[in-house]
Amino acid sequence: MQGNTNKIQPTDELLMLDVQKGDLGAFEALYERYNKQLFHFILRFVKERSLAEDILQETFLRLLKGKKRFRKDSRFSTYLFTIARNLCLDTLKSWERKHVFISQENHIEKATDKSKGPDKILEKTEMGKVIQNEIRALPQDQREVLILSKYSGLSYDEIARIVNNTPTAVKQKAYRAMLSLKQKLKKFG
Amino acid sequence: MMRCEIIKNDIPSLLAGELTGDEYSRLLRHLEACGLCCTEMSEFEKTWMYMDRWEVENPSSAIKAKVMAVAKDELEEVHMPWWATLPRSVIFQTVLGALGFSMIIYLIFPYNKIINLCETLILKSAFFAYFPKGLIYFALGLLYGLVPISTSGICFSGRIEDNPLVKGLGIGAIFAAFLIPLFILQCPQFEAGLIFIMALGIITGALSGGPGTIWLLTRVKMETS
Repeated sequence: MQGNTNKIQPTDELLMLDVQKGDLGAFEALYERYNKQLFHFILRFVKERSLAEDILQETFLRLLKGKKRFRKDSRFSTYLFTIARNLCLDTLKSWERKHVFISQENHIEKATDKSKGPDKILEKTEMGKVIQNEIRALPQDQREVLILSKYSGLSYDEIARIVNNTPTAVKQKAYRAMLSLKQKLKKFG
Repeated sequence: MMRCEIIKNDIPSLLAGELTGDEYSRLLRHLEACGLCCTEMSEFEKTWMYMDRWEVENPSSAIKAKVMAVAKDELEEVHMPWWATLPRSVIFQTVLGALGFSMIIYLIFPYNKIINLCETLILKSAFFAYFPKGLIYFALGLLYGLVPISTSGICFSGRIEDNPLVKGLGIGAIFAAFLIPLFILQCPQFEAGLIFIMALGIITGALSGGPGTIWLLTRVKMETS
């Protein structure tokens, strides 16, 4: 008879409580669970890979340094994404936006080359670039809600806590972001 | 029948899986009856699917190595006794501060002058009239212990992340332990009882200034971070 290998995985919150007691394995488990999801959010938010890696690293280091501040009744994903989001905002404030806009213009020119005609179906990578640029052109509050909702799989309640707003406001921002995106993508068929 | 404007607001929520059972049913019923909203739904769906084409890379494994290296050191400290986690620079700075401060005071302000100051202080008559003589020596000792440790605390509070009260107490104790023998050696003219009272003042000042300053500054740092 085979042994029962279906162990119940501890919740993120329990793992974080173990981290507070000095459990390195618990911290590694949390890192493995969240590093990709968090990195994808950060990279979509700040665009530059090296910057995103720095922020990812700093997020986990801040999680470590402030481990005592995590409360038992908090939700770990909200706590972690809040740290990451705040780091992204701080970084973008000091980042030279000129580099972002110049790069965006270049991508838009390449993706909307008129010689191809408006009816041409864009290839996946080109459409990916278009989506990337259009989402990055959204106002920051709509952009972060859309990225957290679509790509990070967080609920509106969690997003509301991360961005320090109400779930109703988050829902409104998500709608406006999608509406804006939909209208801009119409020309690509 | 639900207004179309309200329904359209719910479409992104539907795509994100955010609608409750009742909201979901209400939306579907409307979409079955309203062609315009149904078209709108298709367009939103297409946009939602297009968003999947924005692919990004995964993080490099080098990041994990860096993070885990820091985590190892950080989490090892949790198992150490509190005094072992005091940064060496803090202990060195405290000892140096005690030695240096004592030497500076002795050079600038010889102890016989302190005795004269206490004996000829304007408030002496008032104090000595109503209080025991030693109170003024205690007060001076309190300042002697409080001021330098509070000043030092401002410099190294940033290096203390947890247990500020306990670590502050430890730092104050280290400071007092080095300062008091020096003070005793430097002022043999004092009466034994006054040495004891002044040393008590130094200990009180150091043990309140150390934890007080570090705890306060750590709290300020936490509130503003």
